[in-house]
Amino acid sequence: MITIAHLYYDLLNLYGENGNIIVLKRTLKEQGIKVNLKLLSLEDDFNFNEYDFVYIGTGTENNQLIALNHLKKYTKDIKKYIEEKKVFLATGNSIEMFGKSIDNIKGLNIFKYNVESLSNRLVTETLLKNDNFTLIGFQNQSKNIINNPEPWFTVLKGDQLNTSINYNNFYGTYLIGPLLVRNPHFLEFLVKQTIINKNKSFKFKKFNLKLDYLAYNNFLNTFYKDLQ
Amino acid sequence: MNAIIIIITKLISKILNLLNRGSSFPGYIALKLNKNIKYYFKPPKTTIFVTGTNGKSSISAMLTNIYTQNGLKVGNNSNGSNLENGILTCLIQNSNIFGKLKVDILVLEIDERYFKKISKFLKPNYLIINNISRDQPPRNGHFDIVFNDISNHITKDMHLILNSDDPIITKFGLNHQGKTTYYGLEKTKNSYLENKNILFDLIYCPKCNTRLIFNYFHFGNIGNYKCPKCDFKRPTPNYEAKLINDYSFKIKDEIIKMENKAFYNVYNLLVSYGTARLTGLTKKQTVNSLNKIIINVDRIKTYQLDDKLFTILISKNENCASYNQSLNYINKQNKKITIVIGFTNISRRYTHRDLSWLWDINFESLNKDLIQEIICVGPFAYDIATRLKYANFNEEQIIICKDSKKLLNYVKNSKQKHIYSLICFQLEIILKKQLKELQK
Repeated sequence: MITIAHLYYDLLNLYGENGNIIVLKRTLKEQGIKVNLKLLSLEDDFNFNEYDFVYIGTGTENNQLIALNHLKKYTKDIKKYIEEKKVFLATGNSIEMFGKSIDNIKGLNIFKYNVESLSNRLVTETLLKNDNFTLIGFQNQSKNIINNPEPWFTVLKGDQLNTSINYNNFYGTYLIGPLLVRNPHFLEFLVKQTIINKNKSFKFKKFNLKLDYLAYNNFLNTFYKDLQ
Repeated sequence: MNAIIIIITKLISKILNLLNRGSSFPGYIALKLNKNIKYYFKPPKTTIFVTGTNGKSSISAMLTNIYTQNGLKVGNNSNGSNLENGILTCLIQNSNIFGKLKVDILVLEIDERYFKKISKFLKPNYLIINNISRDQPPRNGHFDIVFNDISNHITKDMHLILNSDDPIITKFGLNHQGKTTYYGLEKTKNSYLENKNILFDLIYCPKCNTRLIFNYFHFGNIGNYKCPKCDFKRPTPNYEAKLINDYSFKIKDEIIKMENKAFYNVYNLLVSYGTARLTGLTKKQTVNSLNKIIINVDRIKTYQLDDKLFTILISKNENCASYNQSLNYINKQNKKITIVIGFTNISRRYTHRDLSWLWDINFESLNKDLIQEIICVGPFAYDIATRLKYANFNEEQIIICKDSKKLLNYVKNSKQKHIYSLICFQLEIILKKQLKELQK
């Protein structure tokens, strides 16, 4: 059994972030794995020892700070979780919470970057690339990370500051919304990683992501032919 | 100088009207000639603004209709736009050359992001805010931004008319120094209890961050709520509707008919009733005129194609409250149907290709007993198809039709007789043209 924790499912769910949970659950089930989904928020106790996959999404500026304030007491647990190489996915402005500061407010201080407010909201379509993945997506944010020592991706289209993070199995990106739906190869990767963490010799079935890949390839071929 | 600008722009406006072109062009020209002309106008005794995400056009059209039926002269921007230029055009059309408005009342639909600009030169006596919800994220960011844009420009001389069932809207009343009137809908047979998977825009108390308790929901984030810890709760409405059936509701003893039985329409009629009463019309005058209004249902049109009936519902992308209402409409059909979903561009305002909103819409709610197949059209057909796969449709039921030209051929040869399409404005134009050609 795999336990997925969706943190602040009712506070940080601004741009269709639910989609990530829906595809994750279904893809795990199609591998024959039982899924235990925990929808967690301000009035729940978090127990990171129980989770195999943690997801946190985008929120309004106000809700982000409410969540951050609540999450601070779990800083040690989150560090331990990340050091144990368990899978953690943070999308949209939730990645800001894991740095040293958001303007003059203290962050969780797990990563060494600072976040500053932008004068105008940053709204852009984004294409990211590194050795393993080409990610498509969208950004809609009011702040930005200003000093990320090791961005996880190169920006092919979108805001050049787009700063993403990867450390062990912590994956953080400013891309909003249903990232895992739009990037099925990344979904496959995360699902495999999550399962392997629990069972190294797991025999994977073929993933049933035909439509997902058609959508992904169609988008790339239609709109980014010259950038690939 | 301003008098001359008004003469010129009035003339432009008349010519455009003769050409049957409603426009905000006269306002644009007036501002180009003198950017301060917006301060020149002397409004009538009563000015009503209607703003928010959904319902603005319907409410301002209903109010205009009610006042007109009762012999009042109304200035209204339904022919132009709800942005600055559209409002100025309306002022130019309805004023004399000295900028004095020659109407008894102004009823203006105001874009929720332009209230801050427009209220600087024209202040409403009454401000109606019906709802604020997820809509056009690339333009609006999110609902808190829309809320603050409006809230920061409300002054105590404005009488707020607020939907008591939407916790985001009642937030406007929390610190308001002036008058506030609330309207709301009682629990109905369709009300439902909380469900953990509902998408909320506001579920934590804006005063103390405790999770609100909802006694029931009407739809989305709309219902009867209270904070278990502090005094934040649904205010008791001054005007409360009680649903009788799908076609009528009561306000105390007065019965109001609903031409358009879509649920949200109760709110449009109810707030029109309340506002008319607040501005001095009698119960009888208001009810009589409300019951005479025939609501324009041009968002739904049906065409005949051989032995098939093809119904087009215009759906608002990126606006899940509105889109989900269209899905509800489809679910109410008592027959086997095919549906068509698609759009050429996500927005008419911008070129951003943000597909996140597809996941805020409750496609899971679609009735799988009715729907035999779904045809996905347009450049994002595969993205829509993927969304539907995860809404538990079988892949065999999902037909991809990237080229909208091939859509009607497919439909013609299909076994299904009833087709409902949820498409954008541009696709509707293309389809209508093809339907006409095929009917020849």
